[in-house]
Amino acid sequence: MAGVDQPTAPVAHVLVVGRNEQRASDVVAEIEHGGGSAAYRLTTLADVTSARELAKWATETGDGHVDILVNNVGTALLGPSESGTEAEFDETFTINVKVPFFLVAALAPAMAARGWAPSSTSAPWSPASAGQEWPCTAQAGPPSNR
Amino acid sequence: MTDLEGKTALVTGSTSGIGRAAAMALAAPRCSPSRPRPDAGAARRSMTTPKPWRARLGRVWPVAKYVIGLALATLAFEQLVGHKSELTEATVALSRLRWGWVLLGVAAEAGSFLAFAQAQRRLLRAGRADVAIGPMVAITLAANSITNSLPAGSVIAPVYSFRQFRRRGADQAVAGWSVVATFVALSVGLAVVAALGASVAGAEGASLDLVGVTVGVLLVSLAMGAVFVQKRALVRAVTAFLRLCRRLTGWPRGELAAHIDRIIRRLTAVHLSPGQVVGVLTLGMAAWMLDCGCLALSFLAVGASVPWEGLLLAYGAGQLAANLPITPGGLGVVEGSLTIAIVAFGGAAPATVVAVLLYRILSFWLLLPIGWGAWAWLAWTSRRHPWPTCW
Repeated sequence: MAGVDQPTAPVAHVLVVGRNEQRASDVVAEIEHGGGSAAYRLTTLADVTSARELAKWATETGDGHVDILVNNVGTALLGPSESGTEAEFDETFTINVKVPFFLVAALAPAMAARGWAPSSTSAPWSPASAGQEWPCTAQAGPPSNR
Repeated sequence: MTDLEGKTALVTGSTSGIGRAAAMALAAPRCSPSRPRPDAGAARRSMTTPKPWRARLGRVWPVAKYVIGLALATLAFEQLVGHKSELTEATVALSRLRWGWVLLGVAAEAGSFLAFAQAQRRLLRAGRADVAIGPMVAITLAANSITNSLPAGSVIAPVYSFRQFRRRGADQAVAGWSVVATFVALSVGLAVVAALGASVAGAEGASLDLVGVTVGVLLVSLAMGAVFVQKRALVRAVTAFLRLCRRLTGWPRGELAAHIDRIIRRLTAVHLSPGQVVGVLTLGMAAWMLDCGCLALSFLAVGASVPWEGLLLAYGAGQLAANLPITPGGLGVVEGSLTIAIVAFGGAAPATVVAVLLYRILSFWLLLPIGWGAWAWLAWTSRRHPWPTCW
């Protein structure tokens, strides 16, 4: 029918990743309520180990394969550059660059072998206004395997 | 379109914001759109090229915000200094206070704000936005000070709350909805409290013509609450309102259905279960009752007996007066209406005046610096608050 969206099936099995159990379980419940399938894992993604563990869990939960990776995790500290601390810089760089890099590194070979490796990397920056140029330094960096 | 059958998608940062939307999109039944897609290029251009007026505003804003801030502060100072005689009168009475009751009054006022903050938290949580109780109390106090010290503060404060909720992870629809829902819940709560007061006051209230007004406000508030939770009624109300607006002012321009659709989507962004509605209304009423408790304790603190019979009705009428946008925080209006109503119910006039002044010190003057302190604290901590959209 013209002008009407035609629903078709099926859809991907979605692996939800976050830090808040309530929100994660809500997303899974909503997906399942809509007829989809999903699972969640809580992680802070604070280092390379957590990225590798996530990749391992995703592969096991995905019945041996992960076909789509959406690297949406990211953080940005607002404020003037001169007040940023080294710890904040390291945290920002870890979450925005290091973890996505090693996540892709852990998953991409198997994806490529299956001939199926779209990867999306989010760009969660907002236009930095005067005096707030600190946040986005790391965000041009995340690698993409496309 | 990419075939997703049998595929596994790993989405990091997917419990809120864009990541959540991506996860839902990958899991939602796919649709084959037969409508033409909007011009993606045009959308991108409009995102990257700021409109001229916006660019101009961006250039002057760093200076303009200080000018506006200074002007508002001057206006606030003038408004408040104009009522300093109120404080002078109270200072004389303060020398004979019973401090135990005063402390209990402070506790009741604190409980009132805690209940108010908790009601807002529950509304936000229904939209999957979690704000800790500490920042929420600070937001509530800051918004209260904005309302009570700035001209048009009751218009500025909801905008302030909206921005704070946005900073703490609520998306635009949920933040806007919760501000409206809080207003509705508090209005219904106040109307119920005033109606309870009218029923307790009985014939005395009828002689003051307060019962009719109170029942009218109750009916309007209940109707507003019912419309807010019933989508069909909401559509009718919004449609009628926009048609009336257009006939009288020519606004809004463009297709009416699109405006209606947009407003309805915002007002129905979150669905509340009956249990949640009851919970929020209970907290709203608790906030008013505890504030009224502070008034009752003020009578005890000045050594007078509490005029129980008319207290709740007088309080309800006083608060309804406070919410009329005549002066910031209902300055003068509240004192007048409360005192007249309570004296009419048999309260001793001098004791009533002092008790009402004490109540206003605890619930108004004392909270002003605390609220502005909360505002400063929030402004300071927000400078380095992590942007919440992606993780």
